[in-house]
Order: sequence, then C-alpha cells, then structure tokens
Amino acid sequence: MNIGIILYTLLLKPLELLFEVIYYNADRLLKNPGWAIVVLSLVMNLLALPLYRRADKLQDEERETTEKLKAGVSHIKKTFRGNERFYMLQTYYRQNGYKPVYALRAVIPLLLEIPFFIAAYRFLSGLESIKHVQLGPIADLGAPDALMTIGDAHVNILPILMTVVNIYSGKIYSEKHSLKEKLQLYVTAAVFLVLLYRSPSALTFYWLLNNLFSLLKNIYDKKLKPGRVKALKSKNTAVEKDAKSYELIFHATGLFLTVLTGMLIPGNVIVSSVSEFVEVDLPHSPGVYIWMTLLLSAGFFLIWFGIYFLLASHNGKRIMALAAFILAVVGTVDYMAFNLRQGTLSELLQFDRTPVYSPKDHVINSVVIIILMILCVLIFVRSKKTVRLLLLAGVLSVSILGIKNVIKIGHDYKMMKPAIEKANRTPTLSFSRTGKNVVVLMMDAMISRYVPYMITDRPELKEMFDGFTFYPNTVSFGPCTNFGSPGLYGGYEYTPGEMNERDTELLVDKHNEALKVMPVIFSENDYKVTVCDPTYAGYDDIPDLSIYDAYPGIDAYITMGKFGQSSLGYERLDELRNRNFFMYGLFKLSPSVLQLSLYDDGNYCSTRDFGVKDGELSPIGQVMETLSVSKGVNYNFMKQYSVMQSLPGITEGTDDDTDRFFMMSNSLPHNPMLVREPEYEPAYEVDNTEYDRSHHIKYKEDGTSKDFYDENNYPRYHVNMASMLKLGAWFDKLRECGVWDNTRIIIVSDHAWRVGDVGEMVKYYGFEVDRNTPRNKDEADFSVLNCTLMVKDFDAKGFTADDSFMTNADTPALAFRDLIQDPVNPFTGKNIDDTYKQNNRLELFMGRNYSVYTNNGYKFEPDHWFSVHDNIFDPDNWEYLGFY
Amino acid sequence: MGLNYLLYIDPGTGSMLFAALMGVFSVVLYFFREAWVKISFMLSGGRKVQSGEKLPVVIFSDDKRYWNVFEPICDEFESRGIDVHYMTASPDDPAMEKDYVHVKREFIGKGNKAVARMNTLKAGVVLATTPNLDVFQWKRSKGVDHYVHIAHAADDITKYRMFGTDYYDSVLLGGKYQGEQIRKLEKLRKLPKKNIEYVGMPYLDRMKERADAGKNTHEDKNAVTVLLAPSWGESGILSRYGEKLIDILAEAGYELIIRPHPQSFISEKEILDALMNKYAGTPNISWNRDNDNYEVLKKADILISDFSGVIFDFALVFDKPVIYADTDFDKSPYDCYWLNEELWTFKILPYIGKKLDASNMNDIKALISECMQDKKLQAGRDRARKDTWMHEGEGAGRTVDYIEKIAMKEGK
Repeated sequence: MNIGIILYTLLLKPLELLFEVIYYNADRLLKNPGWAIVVLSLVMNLLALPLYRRADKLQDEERETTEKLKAGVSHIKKTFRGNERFYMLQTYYRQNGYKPVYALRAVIPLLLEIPFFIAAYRFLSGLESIKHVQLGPIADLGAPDALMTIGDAHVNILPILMTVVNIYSGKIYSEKHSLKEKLQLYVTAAVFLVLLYRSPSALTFYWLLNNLFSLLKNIYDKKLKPGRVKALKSKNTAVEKDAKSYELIFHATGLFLTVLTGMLIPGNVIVSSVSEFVEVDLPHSPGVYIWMTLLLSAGFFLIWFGIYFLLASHNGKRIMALAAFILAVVGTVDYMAFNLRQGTLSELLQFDRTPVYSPKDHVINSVVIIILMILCVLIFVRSKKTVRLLLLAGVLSVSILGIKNVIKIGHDYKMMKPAIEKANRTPTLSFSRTGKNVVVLMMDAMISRYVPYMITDRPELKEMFDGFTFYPNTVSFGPCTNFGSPGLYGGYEYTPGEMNERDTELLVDKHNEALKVMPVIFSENDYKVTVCDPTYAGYDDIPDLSIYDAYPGIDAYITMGKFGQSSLGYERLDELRNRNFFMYGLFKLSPSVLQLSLYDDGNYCSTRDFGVKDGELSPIGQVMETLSVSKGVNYNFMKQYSVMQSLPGITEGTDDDTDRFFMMSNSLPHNPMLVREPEYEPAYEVDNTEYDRSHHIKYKEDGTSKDFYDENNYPRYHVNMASMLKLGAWFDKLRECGVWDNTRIIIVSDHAWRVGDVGEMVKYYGFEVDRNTPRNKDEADFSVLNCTLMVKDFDAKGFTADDSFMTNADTPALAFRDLIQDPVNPFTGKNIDDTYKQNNRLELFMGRNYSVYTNNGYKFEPDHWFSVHDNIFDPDNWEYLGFY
Repeated sequence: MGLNYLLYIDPGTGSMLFAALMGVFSVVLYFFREAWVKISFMLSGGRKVQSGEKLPVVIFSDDKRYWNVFEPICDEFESRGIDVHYMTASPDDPAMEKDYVHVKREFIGKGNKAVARMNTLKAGVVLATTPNLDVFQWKRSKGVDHYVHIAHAADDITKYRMFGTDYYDSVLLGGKYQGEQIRKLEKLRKLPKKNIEYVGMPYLDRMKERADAGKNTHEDKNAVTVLLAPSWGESGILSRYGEKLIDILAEAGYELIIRPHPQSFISEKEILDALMNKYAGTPNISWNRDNDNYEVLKKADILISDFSGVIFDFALVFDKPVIYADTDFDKSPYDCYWLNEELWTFKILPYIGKKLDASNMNDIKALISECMQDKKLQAGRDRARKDTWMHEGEGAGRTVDYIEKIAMKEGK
C-alpha cells in the first residue's frame, strides 16, 4: 500500500463512489444515461458549490485585507531595505492580524474542488455503460459527437458549444478584471477546446453542463447580486464554546462511523470465514480489505464530511452534528437489531438469497427509527455531555471489537499461510501407458437427472464418454458437501450416520480420514498417488494439504483458482471487495426501506462490474436479464471452469509402468450461471434467445422430454453441461496420450440439487421435513440426493446405463475392484466393500447446516433423517426416520 | 487524455485558482525570506543559549554608550542594597569598572550573541534603552515577565524606527507629550495600553549634578568653543554642509570640536575619514569620540547640531544656546511618520536656539554671537525643561521605585 493509494482512497475514491452511486441510481430511475449525466453534473456542482463560495469569500477577504494594508506595506517596502524591511513587514502584518500564509486559505477550498473534478472525470471516462449509447442526436456517447459534417470531415459540436459557454461565462466573471486576466481566461478556454475536442461526447456533454452551471453561478454572482454581504465573524464566546462542542460531537461521530463501517462490519464478515477471502495464488491477508475499507470510510466520514463541516455556518454545524449523531445511532441499531432474513453472505458479499422484507418489517424498522430520532434530538438538546459520553463509549467499543477482528484475521491467515504456500504449486498429471490408472473425480453438485438429457442435447458427449456406465439410481447420504462427500471418499464407514456413531472424535478428523482412505491404500499398494483439491480437508475452504504430510507417496495440490485467472481478474476482485465492503457497511447501517436499493442484488450500485477490460472476462458476478440473456460471469464458476479447461494442458502419458491413482474435486456444477449455447462456454455477454426458442425443452434418448426453462434448472443445466463438455475434452486428451483404455474413471458427485419437477422425486409428508424445499417445507425433494455416478472401467466400450441401486459411498469399492485385494481401511481396520447397502438400512441425512465452520463438533447438528432402498425413484421406497 | 482531468476546471474557478496560486508563490517567497533571516541570525552567533535560573531584575545595555543612562540607576540600586544584574553587549562597558556589590555585571557577548542570550532570558523585569523589542532579532523571552523601556534622549519618543516601543510593557518617560505620542501609536496600531511612568530623565539629572558640582572649576578660555555635533545620515549636517561649515567656523577663529555621531563612524566612514584627513593640521579643530559626552558639552559654549538628542542634553543641562541646522528631516523610517503631527523637537527648537540654513551659513559668526546674547532663549530652555524633564533630580529614584514595584507585582 503506497502513499498514492492511501491518498487516492482517502480523497478521490469516496467522491468517485458517490458519483457512481448517484449516476447509477439516476440511470436506473431515468433509464437514460444522458439524463443521468445531467444529474451527475448537477450534484457534482452543487457539492462543489460551498467550496467555491468559501474560496470566493476568502479571496474577497484577502483582497480587502491586502487593499487595507497596501499603503503601509508599500511605505515599508520603500523605506526599508534588506532584513530590516522583512522585520518591519513582519511586525506590520502582525499588528494588523494578517499572516502572509492567509493567502493560502483562499486556495485550499479551490484545491478541494479539484478532487471533485478529477473524480467525476475519472468516473465518467471509465464508464463502460455509455459506450454505444445514443443520446438525442448524439449517436454514441462513448465517441466524439460528430454532429456536423462538412464535406468528409466531422465537426464536434459539443466541445465548441462548451467553449462558447466558457468564454461567455469568463466574460461575465472577469468584468472588473484587468485585460491580462481576461485574456488569460479566453486563452484557457481555447486551450481546453483543443485539448478536449476529441473527447467522448459523454465527457464533453458533462463539461458543457458544468460550464452552464458555472455560467449561471457567475450571472447570479456578478449580475444579480453584485454586492454580496460579507458574513460577520462571530466573536461571541458562548457561540464559540457551542461550536467547539458541535465540532467534538461531529468528529467523534465521524470516527465512530469510520471504525464501524470501515473496520468492525467488514471484520465481522471476514472473521467468520477467513479462508473464503484468501485466494490461493493471490496470497495477501484479507486484513488488507479491512484497511482499505477503513481508509475509504475515513475519506468519507472524517475527511469529506469534516471538510463540509468546517465550511458550514454555526447553525449548519449544529444541524450537521445532530444529523451525524442520529446517523450513528440509527445506523448502529439497524446493524445490530435488524439483521434478519439476509441469508448467507458469499465471498463476493452477495447473499445466497436476496433479502426480503415484508411491509411489516419496513413499518417496524421505520417506527423504531423515528423513535430513535426523537430520542437523539432530546438527548442532543438536553445534554451534550451525554452525547459525548455515548460517542466515546461507541468509539471505544467498535474500536476494541474491530481490532479484535483484525487480530483474529491476522492470526488465522498466519496459520493458513504455510498451507497456501504449499498449495501454490501446479501439478503435472502423468498417466502410465503400460500400468493401470485409476481416476476418481468428485464433481460437486453434479446432477444425475440431467445426464440422459445432456447426452441427447450434445450427441458428441456419447463418444467422449465412450466406455462409461451411468448409474442413474444412485443416492447420496446428504444434500450438502459436508454430509455427502466423506462417504464418497471413504466408503460406508463415513456416512453421516456412521460418523455420528463415532461421537468421541471431531467431525473434521473423521472427514480428513475419509479423504485419506483411497490415496493411502493405493499408495501402500505402490501406486503413484496425486490428489487435487481434497474437499474441505481440515474443514476449510482452502483444503489443508497437510493431512497428507505423513505420506510421502501422496502428492497433493490445490488447483482451484490457479489457472486462467489473469492478475487482472484478482486486481478487480480486490477492487470489488475494497469497494463493496464499504457499500456493504452502508447497506447494513441503512434503514430497511433503503437496503434493497443499496444492495442492488449484490451489485451495490456498481456501474463497473460488467466492464470488459482489454477483452478479459470480468470474474465478478453475472446478472441475468432473462433466462437467455445475461451480462458478466460468476466468479466462482470461472475459478472452477479454468481448472477444468486446463486439465488437458497438464496431462501427459508416460511409459513408466508405475500404476497411478488420481483423485480430484471440482465445483464447476455447483456454480449456476448462463453460458453461451450451443457451445456451453462462458461469455461476457450471453444472448441465447434464438437458440433457446427451439431448445429449452430437453429430450432423453427414449423421446421423453422436460422443459428446463426455469430459474432453478436452466443455469444449473448450463453449468452441468459445461462440466460434461470439459470432462469430455479431457477424456479426448487421455485418449490422445494413449492412456484411455488402461484408465478406470469414476465420476461421482457428493449431492445433486432440488430440481423439483425435473427430478420427479418430491414427496409430501404433511409436516416440515425440509426447510430448504423451495415450494413447500412439508415436502422432501429427494432429487437433491440423487447424485451422479458414472464409471468407466478398463477397456470398456460404449455408453450404457445401469439401474442398479448404488450410493456414492460405493466409490472406494469401485476404485479398488480387481486391483486391490480385500482392501482394508488403514484407520479402522475394517474391510471396504459395497455389501453395506445390502445388509444395513441406509440412513440419509437431510441436514441443512452445510458450513464446516459452524457444523464442526463431534456429531452433525440434528436434522431430518430418511431411508431408501432399491429403486430411489419410487416414492414408496422412501421412509422418514425422524429428527435427530 | 491523461492530463485533461487535471487541466479541466470551469473558467471562474480556474481564474480564481490562478490568482490564488500567484498568492501562493509570494507566500513561498516570504517564507524563504523568513528562513533566510533566521539562518543568517543563527550564523552570526544567534544560537539558542540555555538560560539559568530566573533573575529578579536585569538591566540590558546593547552598547556601552548608554552607560550614562544606566549609571545613575545602578547607583541607586546599589545604594538601596537591591541586587540587580547588569548585562552588557560591550566588553569594555564602564560598568565593569564600578565597585558595586549589589549590581552584578556580566558581558553577555557582542551583537547577535547577546541578543540570543536575551531571547531566552529568565527574569522578572528587564530594563533597557534598546528600541524595537520583538521587532528585530531581539525577541521577547517567554521567561521574562515585564519589559521596561527607558528613553535615552530627552526628546520625542517617536523618533525611534518604526514599532520602537510597541512591545514593551512599560515605558519610563520624562515628558507628558511623549506619553501622548505613545498612546496615539497604540490607538493607531490597536495595541494594548502599556504602562507609562513619568520618572524624569536620570541621565540628565546626573549630568546636571556633575555640571552643578563643576561650576566652580571654571577654566580660562581665549576663544569661544563651538561644538559641532551632527547626527548621521543623508539629512545630517555632515552630509549636507560638511566642509563648508567647518571651513567657515575654523576661519572665524572659534575653537571647534567636532563630535560625530557614533553611527557616522560606521555609516559615513568615508566622508568622516576625508574630513579628518583634511583638517588634521588645523590647530583650532579637534575631534571628540569620548564615551561620556559630559566633558565636551561642559567645555563648549555653543552647540551646532541638527535634530540629534544632544541638543537637549546641552541646552537643558548646561543651559547654553544651540544652533540647529535646517535639515529636511525624513520621518519615513520612524514611528513619527505614522502620526500626523509635528515633532516636539521641531516645535521647541526655535525657542532654544537659532536655525542654521544655507542663507545664513556665511554669517554664522553673527548667528553665534546673537545666540549667545539672546535672553529669550533662556526662557525657551526653561519651557523645554518643563516639557521633557519632569521630576528633575528624581529620575533614578523614581526609576528604581517603579522597577521595584513592578518586580514585586510580577514576583507575586
């Protein structure tokens, strides 16, 4: 963090952000970028006006003082020489209460105006959404206006108009000035014309508006109100004492809001899951986000608010101090007490579900705010001392809590760092051409029900997946990764029920054990073992690879986010977080009626997240206009997609006949978003309207069809399809390397998704069995447990389906089959086979707390349990076991 | 495009900014100047000196020539048995030779070294004749409670260079008109009223005492002794009449003593050297540079001077006539410039002497004899004494009384 960034964040960024939010909302309301620019210009000029006024007044005062002292000064200059002259002048100034440095006072408000101009310019010139936008006769706001054509040449009218206004305005302004000053204005106007002539019309339009504003200002100042009354300086000591008190209250409130928004709120978000905010190949502490947010908050609440406070009149100061106090109290109560129904926050500060407020919520919130405001006014009027004490207590407590967070984040990051550094290696996946290769791919949330449709949708998949047997009748032991994946990795000893049985051991230890079962057994049988992204190893989002430290034969890697993401992507991710943590803070402090506008579907009024910069895809969020049209891409999707896309590049065949075992997880199917059809590849702008018109209904080979065109299914179908195609491309690479036939591949998912009608696995119970069922909590949608299982054995041919009853806990047995004789779990000593499901009642856990950061005791938090046997598509085979 | 946003600003603001930046430029120049002045003060010995414990009363003399002012006061302190510290910037200050018990004397270095010491002094009361406290290098020390100025000439207090007594807490004066002048300046400059104490003129008292004591030792003289005591500077006699006047006086057969202002030896050294060379062989011309002007004033029968304060010493103490040169007094550098009124000096001069100008310079002999016989001048001198020499004979006592009073008050 260099001084430039600090200054930028303190001085410019708050203004840029303010302009962005103003422009964004103006555009949203007026649905016209041109009018939004008008609003922006107006607001910018109104904001800069007090500064201009102050500068004007100070310059008048300065002019008056120098005029008053002129005779004396020139006498001294005439009479004395050398040092004596200096001493005489110094004393003369002193006696007249003047300091030469006062000449600077008039400059300061002017200099303070410059950030407004720079910020507005920077914002507008970086605004992508004005490109190719028409405004009246201007064809493209992103290009020079070219409103007139003379012969072959285009003439830009806006800059000329701007200059005309500029000159006229200058003429009025400099009416009583010397010819030299006048000339200076006209020359400046001409220079601007040359410099700005080729600027995009959005900018020249904006400048034209600024100049019009300046013209009006000058007409008012010089023509309508030439003899302005000078404000009298108040020397009343009671007033001065009051002013001190307001000053203290205002600045203390500024400090409180700064620490609350800049430190405590972002800290509270990060501290709940530090690793979510750490990128493997961008290793900086998430604490950085807090410092940047703190700077931005300080820029807002301390610097800019402070500047306006300084410029305010006595009365203005009183009102501002009271308003700030109310803001602090209401904000704190909003943050502390109205936090409900906002769901879980992602690392992009987006909720998993958009917060919903009922009219009742708004009424309650508004009533509370009104009561608080009345209380604040009463306290403020009655006892400033109480206000000061409250603020002192507030500043102290938010600071202590904030610093506590920062320390905790720093500590967590430090603990994580070795793992991150270790993980920061790129694997080479080498497969033996002569030995045996076994691959287990855990595709998080891959939906089995889609497979038959996908195969028909893109027939080449059948060739790519040649040799695979698809097991549609497969069930997982839980609807989320923490419940569904241990069994997949470790077999039946690691189903939620079995893990709960071992209730003297921590879940994380049992989970880690499951992740080791296959790698350790293969390794002990002289296989060369490579593991990538072992799911939740160490119960952390960034897998803790040290669980394999004791096994030199196991090579472990983290690939998530390692490929394809240019540094630009991460810079923008940082930029997004630095911006949105502050916005998130404001969102949390604001009344409920404002919250949704500020949250803006997780976009936080940003105009930038759709921006294509140098042809790169933005990793930040996708907004769907319809189910066929979208802008932007999902950050997590890209992170996973880039890994899948990179697999062929890091894969090689080798003549070394050592057998290989490769285990990997990938969450591509877990990150729904729209991709471009029919390629099913991500694109910045997606418009599948044409294609979807004839393709939204998907078919199976037997001709049965389903309409997938709904919010729940369509984006998921897209990402499942993208996953299949990327897997297929990798399989092609394996074929090319000559390792296809001697490789056994198991594609398995830890769970699926509640796909509703598409799943046809919904069962009504008449009491609440699954709070996550979208339609009715009394229904259980078992499609979420219908996980994917596809197995390609050595030398297998064709793409076939097998309706055998399977579970994803069969995976280890499938992997070992015919290769490892009587495999035994090295940790428990028990045999690993697939007989469990025949001999035991399967206990399936419909748990809801998917967080490994909170559901991490000795047993999983209680929830509903079910059982199923044989055909999982027959509702009668499902049985409710109870809540435990 | 990169620079556009730095350049772009609406015309009104742009013009204001431009004007303001010019202001910034001059401010920067001013600060460089300030820094330079400070540095040059430091380089010329003005380094900060750590002062010791707080002294109750300090007398500061920036030059030994003011010993005539301080001597009667020191004697008074000594006789009353009050301890005071006399700090001088002259190593050969006559004070050093005095046999005092209670007046502790200290040479505190010359020039800026002395000033630096004074700037960090810790004292209850400081008495000084040095004008322009807190204007030039000599600043008010935070460790000093009260600064008292005592005039070293019996005429206008506004003949100091600008801001002469502005930053003193008390001024000791010999005439009401001086007090009025100070009050007028205070009003003009919106300064707080300082204490004005009319104590008289201790140094005139002392001269008077000596003159009275020496009356009986009258020495025989053949010729009239003319003392030419010009002030310095362009409007002084030396610059304006110089040689011509000396020639006339020498030819007239007077015994001529020329006593240039001490500053002339510095500022007008070339003129002075030329004159001294020219008249080196002239028997009835002598040059006088005594620190104490008593003897020379006593010896002279008539004084020719300009607006120098010595006129009043001569006329008031020795009660002899004076001839004052008609010089264009340029008030510009002085406090009197700011007061729109005639100086007391110029008002009183016609009453105590005759004016010498270009027209009567050739008849200077007649002028001298006219002066020596004019009885009206005696009345004029009485009037001047009344104006500017209050409490005759009580100056030192009243000064010490006042300082004691202030020291007690500040010491509380």
